Amino acid sequence: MKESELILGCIKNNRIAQNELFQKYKDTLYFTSLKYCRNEADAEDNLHDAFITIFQKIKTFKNQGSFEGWMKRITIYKAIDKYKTAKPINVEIKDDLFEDTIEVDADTEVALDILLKFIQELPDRYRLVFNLYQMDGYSHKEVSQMLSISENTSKSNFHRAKLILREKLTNDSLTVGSKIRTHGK
Amino acid sequence: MENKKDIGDFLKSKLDQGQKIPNESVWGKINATLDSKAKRRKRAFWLLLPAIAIFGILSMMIFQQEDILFLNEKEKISVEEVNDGLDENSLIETTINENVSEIKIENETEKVAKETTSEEIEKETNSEPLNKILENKVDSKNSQTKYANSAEPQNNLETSGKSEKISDSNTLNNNEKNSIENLQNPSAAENNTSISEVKNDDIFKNNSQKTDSTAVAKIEKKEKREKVKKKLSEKDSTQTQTSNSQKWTVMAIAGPVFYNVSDKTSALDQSLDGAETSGEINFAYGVGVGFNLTEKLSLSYSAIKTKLSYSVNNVRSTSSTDSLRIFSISAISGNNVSRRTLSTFAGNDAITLRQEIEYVEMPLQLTYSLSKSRFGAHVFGGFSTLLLTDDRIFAENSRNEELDLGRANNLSKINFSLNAGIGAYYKFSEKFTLEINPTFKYHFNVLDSANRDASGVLLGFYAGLKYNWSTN
Repeated sequence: MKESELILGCIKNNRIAQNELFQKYKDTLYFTSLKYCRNEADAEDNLHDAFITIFQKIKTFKNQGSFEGWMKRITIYKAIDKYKTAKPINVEIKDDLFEDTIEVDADTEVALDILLKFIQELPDRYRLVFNLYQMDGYSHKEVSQMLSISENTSKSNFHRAKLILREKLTNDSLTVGSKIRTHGK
Repeated sequence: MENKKDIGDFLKSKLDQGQKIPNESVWGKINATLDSKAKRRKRAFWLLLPAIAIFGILSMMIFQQEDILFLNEKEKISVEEVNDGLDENSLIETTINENVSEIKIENETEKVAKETTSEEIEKETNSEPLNKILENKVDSKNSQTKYANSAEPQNNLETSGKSEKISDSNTLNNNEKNSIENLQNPSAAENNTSISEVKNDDIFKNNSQKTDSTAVAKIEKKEKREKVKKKLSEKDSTQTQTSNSQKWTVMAIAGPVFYNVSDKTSALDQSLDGAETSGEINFAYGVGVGFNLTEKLSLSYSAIKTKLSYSVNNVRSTSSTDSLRIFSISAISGNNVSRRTLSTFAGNDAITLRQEIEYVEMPLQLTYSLSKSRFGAHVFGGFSTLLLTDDRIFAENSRNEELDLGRANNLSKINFSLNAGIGAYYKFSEKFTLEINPTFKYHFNVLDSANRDASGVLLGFYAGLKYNWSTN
């Protein structure tokens, strides 16, 4: 079935079309959920909620832009809704630190699951900011609006997230031998 | 030279196009959620239906009231119009008659004196809109002539009566002929010679004609009024009939109901699908209100306490270790019946599982009377909303002992049924009607499950005593 036919089928609540759409995009959207959620169980719940919303709102999709992108945004927003209310972490950070680049050896070999685990273990707000800004290309302004925080908080959360990730990579036995260091600009 | 990369970019490059396969159960959950949402939508629709129906009834009632008011207004207006029209017409007629009489006498004497030719009269007769006047004129000439000859006011009255019938062309022609004959008659000379006499006669005639035409107009006016009154009274009686038919009724309902579920899909458990079931008879009772939409069509809404029960026969243990299959029935919950108790109760025999379900049933039905007589038949159809109030599951052994197993946890709180039937009624009096309504009901949405649904059939023999509760 073509994508347009799938969409039409889903609009008509055709269960076969809905299943086909799920099968086609479940892996990608599940991975997105894994990045934004704390664990696999949460990610599966998020995937469930996201697909329910997708099937409910699919008639509002206006064929402008990528359908996959539209579904991904729904998945991200679902995760944000889940963790947005999480208790904020108050951190004090100097502005000059925001511009720091935290580097690692590009040749470092880390298993995908381990990297995912590191991200999932980040505090909820840090994880959301890190994913939105770094992985999905939203600006700090957009992130601040999405999470109802200030831009500075977004930047500080992002920086903190990177610091935590570096620490995790450093400490992880798999990353032994990789050289990670911080450069001030 | 080491290849350095920002940790963010490093993670992005590693995770960017990543994919992972979710647990297969996710689709199952999505499927179930979609089912339950669809079911909720359906349920909302069914719950909305009674509300829509009640709204419809109320709207119809309001519209009917407005129609009656509108009809009354219309009647008033038409009566006024008719009366006005009547008055105006009679006034016009009277005035015309009066004028004609006056003109006639003046013209007549002049014409007689001048020996007006028939041609002139014909010209006058043809000229519109003076036809009517001329008619009367010609008529009055006749009458004058008659008067001159016989001098009987009775004839004059008759003639003036005729003069008002404009459409009567024969009369007109005759009158014209007569008038021409009269005018051309040599006796006119005699008339000519006795103008003064004629004048005196004419004055007398004029007066009598005036009186006569007014009297005729009055009689006609009366007749017309009587006709209008008759029509109005006829319409009034029709309206009274209509308003009589708009009666509210209250009724008490009671009767035995037979119920059985489909044995294809068990309401108890999937493992009992296809097991033999037998229906049972219970009793239902309730009250309702009805509204006569028309003389033959009525709508009713009731609340009936209904107990339904059925049995699943020959439920056996499948093995010595699994003493009874009903232990695997997830739908049963509640009574803490131990395996041992059940084993002792059942022994090695098959048992019967009996489920009793109690509902408050709210049927909304449309009834169409097939006759208008005191004793007659009617057909009806509609749907019921059934609210679950209680349920129990019992086990019965070969020794006719009964064990309360508990409640079913899979029953839908709100069920529906489609109803149809044909019944009979007998009107004791204007106020009381006895009804017998054998009703077939298809009961569905029995289970509160997205994947399974059980259905049943219900046959009720409801007897109802209806009271016409009306201010009319």
